[in-house]
Amino acid sequence: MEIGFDELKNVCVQCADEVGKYFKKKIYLDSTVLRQCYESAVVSENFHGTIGTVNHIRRASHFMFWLVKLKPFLFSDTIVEKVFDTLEPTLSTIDPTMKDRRQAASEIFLNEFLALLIGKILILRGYIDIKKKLVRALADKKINKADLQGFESLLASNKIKFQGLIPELTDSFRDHNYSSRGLATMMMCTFYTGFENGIQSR
Amino acid sequence: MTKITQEDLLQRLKKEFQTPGCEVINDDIANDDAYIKHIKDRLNSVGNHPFGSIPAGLKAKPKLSSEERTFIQNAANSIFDPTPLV
Repeated sequence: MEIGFDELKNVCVQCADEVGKYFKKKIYLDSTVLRQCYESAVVSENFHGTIGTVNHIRRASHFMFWLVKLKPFLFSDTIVEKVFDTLEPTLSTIDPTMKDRRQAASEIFLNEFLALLIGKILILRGYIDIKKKLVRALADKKINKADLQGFESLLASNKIKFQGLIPELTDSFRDHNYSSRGLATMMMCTFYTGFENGIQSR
Repeated sequence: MTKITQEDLLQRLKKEFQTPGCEVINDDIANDDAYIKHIKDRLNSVGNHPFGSIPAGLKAKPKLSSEERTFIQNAANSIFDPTPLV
């Protein structure tokens, strides 16, 4: 697996930090559970067997699956939070968004939401690498300009497709059966551009 | 003497009592070699499970007989062919 544990953890921390700040809540990331997610993904991604290589979409999808399944993130629910809640009416006069955001935090599926966010970031990071390779291949005249334009146009529409899938996926993660491989296949269907397993002209 | 307004006090309380964002916990355990080995050993010994050892039969690419190929081809054609079936 190309992405290491520390790199994955950094992406997770950055995402959870942003989400925590938005919802005005502290989010704990249990590193031991994240380690289990990582190791489980390393094993489960190989269950694709010899049919196709494990590309970056599949890798990211298996991380997503294990993040949803093992749930390493949790909102803080300490006594400090309780004290804070009692002060909230007054604090809301300083920050009017506080009450609504904290209320919204109690209604979202934190791990599912973060898994989708982290998965999307990992997938798009993979495409940054692919784009660099395509630009290099274009300079070396191994592909033509239409290939690069086609890639960019597909990627733009795939991002919109994924955005539309988010509500469906969060509900599905919460309420239905699913598998790591099924999720990886779904993400492949959503993001596949044809350049994941090598750069060649169409 | 510094005068503290109610607003200052509330801001201070807000900062002290709750810092929004992410905090990593149990990082030392997560990076402990013994812990990592424990997880890997467990994952390698889950037995008859998708994450266990993949049988050789699964590793080999599935080969279809010519009869099966023809059947799939015909079925696909009949589904996607816009002309009505006779």
